[in-house]
Amino acid sequence: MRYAYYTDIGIAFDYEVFDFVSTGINGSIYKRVVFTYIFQTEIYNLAFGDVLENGEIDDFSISDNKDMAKILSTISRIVKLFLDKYPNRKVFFSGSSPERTRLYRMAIGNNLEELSEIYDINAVLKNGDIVEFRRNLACVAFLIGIKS
Amino acid sequence: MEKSTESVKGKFLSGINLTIKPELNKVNRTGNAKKNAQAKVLLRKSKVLKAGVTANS
Repeated sequence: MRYAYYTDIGIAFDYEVFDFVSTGINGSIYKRVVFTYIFQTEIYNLAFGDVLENGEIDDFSISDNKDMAKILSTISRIVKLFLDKYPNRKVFFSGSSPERTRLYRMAIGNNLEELSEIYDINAVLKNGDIVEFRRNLACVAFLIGIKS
Repeated sequence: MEKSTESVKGKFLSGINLTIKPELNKVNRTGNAKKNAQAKVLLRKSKVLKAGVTANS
């Protein structure tokens, strides 16, 4: 991705939890990415959001820190770190709302050449079919693997 | 908490400083239960996954 990204990233020993700090017009906000096993042998859900005081992730938060591109660029690198560690796994993710899913689809589409060199990118359709990602394809989620 | 750093390789990850944080091991890993359930429903529908392969793998 052509965008800047946050470079200071904290990780758990097993590379399944990552955190970083978003800095912007509303100050510093802790963000967290958690990969959670969900299906079959190797599919993990990507959960992302602000870290609340109780340690939970709020994936509906709108921090409006004016650094969305930088955050998405950072998350794309976190996915790479996770899949480098576990190359047989795949990462499933969707937005917490249709608007966010559309935002992710646009972000992937705008950087498809670069991302396709690193990842196998699939789109999950509403009926559950999984097809190779294409720009402007209506989808409800994404399934990402590392290119072998 | 004692922390240590991990190295990263490759242009795509250039400049990233990884720090192992022991406190992150204690984080709740269950994620958003509703979203996980929705994901499972979607993935169970997938004929492609039932066959053991994805469209682009």
